[in-house]
Amino acid sequence: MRRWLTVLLAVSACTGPVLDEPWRIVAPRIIAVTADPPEAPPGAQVVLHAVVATPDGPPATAGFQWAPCEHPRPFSQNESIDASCLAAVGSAPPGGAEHALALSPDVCAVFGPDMSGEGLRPRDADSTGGYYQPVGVQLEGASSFAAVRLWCRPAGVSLDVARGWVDTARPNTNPAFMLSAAFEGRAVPFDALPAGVTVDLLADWSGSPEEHDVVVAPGGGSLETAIERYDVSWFVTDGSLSAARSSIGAGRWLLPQSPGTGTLWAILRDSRGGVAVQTSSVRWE
Amino acid sequence: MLLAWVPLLAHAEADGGVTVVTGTRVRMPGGTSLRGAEARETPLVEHDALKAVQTFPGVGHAALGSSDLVVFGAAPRETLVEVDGIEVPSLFHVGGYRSVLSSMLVGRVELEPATLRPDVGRGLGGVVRVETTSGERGAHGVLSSDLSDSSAWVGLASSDASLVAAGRVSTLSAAVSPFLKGAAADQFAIPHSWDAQVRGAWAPTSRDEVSVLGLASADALSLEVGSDDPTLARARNERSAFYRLGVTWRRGEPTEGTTVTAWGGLDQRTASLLTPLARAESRDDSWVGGLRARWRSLLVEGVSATCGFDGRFTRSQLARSGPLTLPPREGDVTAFGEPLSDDRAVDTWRVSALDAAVFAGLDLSLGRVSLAPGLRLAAIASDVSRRTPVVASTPGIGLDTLDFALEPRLTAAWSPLDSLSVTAAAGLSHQAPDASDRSAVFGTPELRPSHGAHVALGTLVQPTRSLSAEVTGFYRTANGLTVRDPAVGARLAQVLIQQAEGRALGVNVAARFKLSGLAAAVAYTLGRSERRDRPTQPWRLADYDQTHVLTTTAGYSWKGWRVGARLRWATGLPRTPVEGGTFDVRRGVFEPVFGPHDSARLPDFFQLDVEAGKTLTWGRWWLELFVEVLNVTNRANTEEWVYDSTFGRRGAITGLPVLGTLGVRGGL
Repeated sequence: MRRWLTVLLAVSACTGPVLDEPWRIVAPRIIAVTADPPEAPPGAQVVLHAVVATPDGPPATAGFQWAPCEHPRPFSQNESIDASCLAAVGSAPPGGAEHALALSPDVCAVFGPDMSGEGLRPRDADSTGGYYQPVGVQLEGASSFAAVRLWCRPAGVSLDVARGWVDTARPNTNPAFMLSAAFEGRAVPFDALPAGVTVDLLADWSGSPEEHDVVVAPGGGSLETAIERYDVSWFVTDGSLSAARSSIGAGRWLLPQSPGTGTLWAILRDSRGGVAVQTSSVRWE
Repeated sequence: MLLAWVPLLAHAEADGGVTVVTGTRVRMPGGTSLRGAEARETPLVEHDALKAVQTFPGVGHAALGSSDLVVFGAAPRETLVEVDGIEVPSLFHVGGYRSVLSSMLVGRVELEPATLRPDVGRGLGGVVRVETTSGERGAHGVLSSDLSDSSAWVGLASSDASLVAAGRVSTLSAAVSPFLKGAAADQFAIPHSWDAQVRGAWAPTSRDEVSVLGLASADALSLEVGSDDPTLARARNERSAFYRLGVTWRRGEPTEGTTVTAWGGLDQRTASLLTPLARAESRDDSWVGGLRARWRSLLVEGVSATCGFDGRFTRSQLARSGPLTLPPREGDVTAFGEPLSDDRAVDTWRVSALDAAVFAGLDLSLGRVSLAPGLRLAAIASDVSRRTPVVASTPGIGLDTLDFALEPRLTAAWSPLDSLSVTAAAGLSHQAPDASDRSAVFGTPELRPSHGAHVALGTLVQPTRSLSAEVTGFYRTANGLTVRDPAVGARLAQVLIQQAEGRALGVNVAARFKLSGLAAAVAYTLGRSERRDRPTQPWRLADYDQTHVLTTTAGYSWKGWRVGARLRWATGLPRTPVEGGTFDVRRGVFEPVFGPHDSARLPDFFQLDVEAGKTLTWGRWWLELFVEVLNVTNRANTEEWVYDSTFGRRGAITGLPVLGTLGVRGGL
C-alpha cells in the first residue's frame, strides 16, 4: 500500500484571542510598591510606598489597606501569596500610601532558609537567591501584594561558603534611571509629542551603580556571582504600547490621532526587589 | 457455544467483533478486544490500529494535543500499556496524534478496565494489551505517507520463521506549522516523533515459539519565541524516548504450557522551560527490565491452573531544578498560562525499585458457570539515594523500603442462555510510587505503594450473530494516593503526602452491529470520578472526570465504495474557575484568584467526522481515492480556557475547525 497524495483543504488557527492590554490604565491601580531599604535583615523596619496610577486626576493618598502576610504560601501552591493573607487584606483598616513594616526577628525561619524548631522544610530561594515576605495592599477593592526582600544568612552551607558570603554579599539598593522619548531618532519632550505616530521610549539605567548578586549556588557547595538584571514596565492612559515591559529599556508607544494629554509611568525593577518609578505628564498634538 | 468461557478455544470471536474469550481466560466485564484488521478498519482512525482504543467503552475523551489515556475514571499514569508483555510508558506519541507502534504490527489490541487477572499487576487503572503479529506468509511491504507521517513496513514469513521491521517518522510539524500564525504560532507546537520496531519469530518445534521484539519511540516538542528583548523571549523544549528489547518463549500456549517473557530497556525524558520570570529543567533516565513467566496446565476436565512470576526492576537517575509546582499534577489548582513561581529548588537523586510478584490462579468450568479465582503476592522494594536534602558537605543517607501486597482476584461468569452471559470481577491492586516523586527536595523519599480495589459487573447479550450489546457497571477505589501537602508548612523531605483517596463509579453501554458491509459501534459511559486530598476533606471531582462519554462509529462498504462516520460527545473536563487577579508588584505580573476547586467545567465536546472512499482494483494492484472531513459541523470546541494577563477576561482555545483531506492510496 502506498499513500502518495494528500491535499489539505482547510486549516486555520485554533485559538480565540483575548484582548490583553495590561499596560492600559482604566481605573486607579497600584502599579508598584517601593521599599526603603529594598532588602532588610530580621528585626529591621522597612518603609513601603504604594505607587498608584489613575486614568485622570491626582492619585489617591488614602484608603490603602495594608496587611503583612503572617504565613508563607503552601508548597502546593504556585501563586505567591497565601489565601489567608489575601483575605486579611480585605479586612485591614484603611490607611495611607505609606506603610511601615517591622520585620520579625524570626522572619528568616518563616519565609527564609532557616530551619524552624518544628522540623519544617525551609523555603526555596528565587533564582537570585532571594527570600521575601509578602505584604498585601488593596485600593478600592483591587488587591496587590508587594514583597520585602529579606537579608537572610545562607543556611545549610559549609563554613567556607558562609564566610565567603559574609565577606562579599551586600544588601540591595534601589536603582535609578532616566526616561526619555524619541521620534525618528530625535529626542522629543513629553509635553510636545507628535500625535498619531509611534514614539520610542527609552529607560536608561546606565547611571545606576552596577550591582552584583552573590548567591549560594544550587546544592550549597559554592557561591555564584551574577550581574544584576533590570526590566522596565510601561503604563499609559491612552494610545497603545507594543509591549508591556522590556529588559533592554526600549518601548514603542503609538499615540492617538487626535491631540490630547495623558500620563506615562515607567517602573524599573532590578532582579533583587529594588524599584524606581518615573511618572511623566504627556501631551501630543 | 457459551459466551463467557470456552476452554481450549483460542481467540474465539463473536461475529459482531466482540471477543468472547482470549485463550482460556474468562472475558473481563467491560473489556474490549479487537483484532488488528478490525482496529484498522475503525472509521476515522486513519488506519492507525491503536487509535481505535480511543473509541473503546470506558475510555475518556482526551483533550486536543494530549496523549493521556483515561480509562474508567483512572488517572492516565495508573493505566498499564503492554506490547507482547513488555511494558511501555505510553500508547501514543506526544500530542496523541499517532500511536507508538506500526499499525501493521498490531495483531490484537485489548483493553481491560483493571488489573484483575493474577498475572498482571503494578497499576491501579486499566490495562492496554497489544499483541504483535508477523502478518501473512511470504514477502510483503508497505509504504505510506500522508499529512501526519511517513512509514514503512516490511515482512518476511515462512511456516516456522518470520522477520518484520517497521518505522515511522512524523511530518505533521512540517505540514501544519506554516499554517500556524500569530498567537497560534506562539502558543502551539507540533511535536516531532519517530518510532521503529523489529520483530523476529521462530518456531523450532510445533509446540515452541521464540520471538524477539525491539521497540523504539521518540518525541520532541519545541516552542521558542525569540526576541532581541529577553523579557519577551521564552522557550519550552521537551524530549522523551523509550527503547525496549524483549524475548518471549512460548511452549504449548495458549491452551496450556509455558510462556516466559524477559525484557529490558531505557526510558528518557528531558524538559526545560525558560520564561522571563522563571526557569525549570528536568531529566529522567530510567533503565527498566522485567520478567514474566507463566505456566498453565489443564489439571482435569474443566479445571486448569496458572502460576508464575511477574517482576519489574527500575533504576532511575533524576535531576530537576525549578519551582516545586512544576510539572502540575492531579489536584493542583492552576490556570492555563499563569505565571510560574520563580522559586528555584535543585536536586539530583537515584531510585532503584523492584516490584515482583508470584501469582497463581484457577479456571473452573462448572457447566454454565465459570470461576477464575487468583492470588498475587507482590513484594515492592526500593532504594532511594537520599532521605533528606543536601546540607553542606554532609554525606547523604539513603532510604530502603520493603512492602508486601496480597491481592486476591476473582472473575466469574454465568451463561444462562447461549446468547446471554453475566460476568463479574473483583480484585485488589497496587502501584509503586513514581521515582520522580521521591526527591528529598521536590517530593517525599518515603513514599509507599498506593492500593486500590475494583469491582465490575457486566451483562453481554448477543441476540443474533450480527449484534451484540453489553452493559457494565464498575466501581473502583484507591487510597494512599500521592498528592502535594496543602498545609502551609510541610515537614522536611515530605512535600508530597499519601493521604489522598479516589473513587470512580459508572456504567458502560456498548453495542456492535455487523452485517454484510455495514458495521456500527456505540460506546457510552456514564461515570463520576472523585478525589479528596485528605480523608477529612469533602470529595471533589477528579481532574479527569467526564460524566458522559459517547463515541459512535459506523461504516458501510459496497463494491469498492466505503463511507464512514464517527460522532463523539463528552462532558467537558473539570476546571477551577478564576474569579479575578491580584497584582504581584515585585514581578509586575498578575496572579489568578481561584474559586472552589474543580467547581466548573469546560463546555461539552462534540464532533462529527465523516469519510468516504472508492477502491479500484486491477489484478493485484489497487488504488483508493478517499476524502475525510473532520468536524463537519465546524463546532468550536473549547479545549482550554485562557485568560488575559490580568485574569479579568476569559477566552477559549478551541479545537480544529472543519478540516478536509483528499487522498489517494495504492499498492499491491
